[in-house]
Amino acid sequence: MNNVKRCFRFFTLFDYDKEEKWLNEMNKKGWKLRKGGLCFVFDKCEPEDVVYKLDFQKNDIDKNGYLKMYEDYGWEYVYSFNNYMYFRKNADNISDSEDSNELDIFSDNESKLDMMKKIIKWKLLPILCIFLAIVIPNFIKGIDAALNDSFGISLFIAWSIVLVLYLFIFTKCYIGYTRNKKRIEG
Amino acid sequence: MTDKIRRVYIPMTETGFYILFCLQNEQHGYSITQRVKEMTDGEVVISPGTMYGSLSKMEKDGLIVFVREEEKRKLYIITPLGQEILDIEINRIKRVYRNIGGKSYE
Repeated sequence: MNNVKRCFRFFTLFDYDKEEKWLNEMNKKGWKLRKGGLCFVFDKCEPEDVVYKLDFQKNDIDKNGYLKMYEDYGWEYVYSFNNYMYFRKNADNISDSEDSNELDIFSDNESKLDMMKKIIKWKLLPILCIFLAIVIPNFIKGIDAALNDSFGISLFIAWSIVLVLYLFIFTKCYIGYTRNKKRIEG
Repeated sequence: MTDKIRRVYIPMTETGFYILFCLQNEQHGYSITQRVKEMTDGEVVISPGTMYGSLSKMEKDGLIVFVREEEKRKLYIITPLGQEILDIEINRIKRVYRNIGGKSYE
């Protein structure tokens, strides 16, 4: 019997709501998150209703004080990846209607929107800068090179792939951003 | 008080108001949530992410100040600037309350 499960999943910057839901469903099926990233590792457990929540924090926080606060509120820290902090809480003993705030790490819309703003500032903008400063100019250069020789063609193809990959990520980010914004603002 | 502080904090959100109000006494995040829960009969429950973000922002803007650490928990207290903002808010809320004909709280 296999007690460890590994899954590859790629979530972009604003897909944390989907990620939370997926981790919750995995736990319901008896797979408890050990660590994530691109490869998620799960340990076999009793099926339980556990709520997972992701917070975004910069590197310069006082991590001990930060984790202690979450612990005070009954949130277990799982791990962090790419500035996303993973927390979970057992939802079996908390009824949804009575204390819905107990099952969320944010209690007002402002702080939910703040998290999105932080992700834009510290993650999306740097990616956008790389795209505009490196990917686009090299792609344009690649067009010229492609007309000259066969090496130029392969260079052009390589940069085209990078360009498409970036556009794919931006599209996914945009979809996730609008979905979350709509969810928050109702 | 700068215009920026005034713009950001007046009027204040309910969460912000209660946090600042509680910090007239030295407290840490979770104890503020507990206190606010009691004060509002469980109507206002501030979650950790919201609490952490609010405290960080208020500390950065000089409304509150870090006092000391107790078992990894950070304790804060209001500053004169924070008190000034809180007093403005209290007066504003009293005015609202008076204008809607409030005399006794139900």
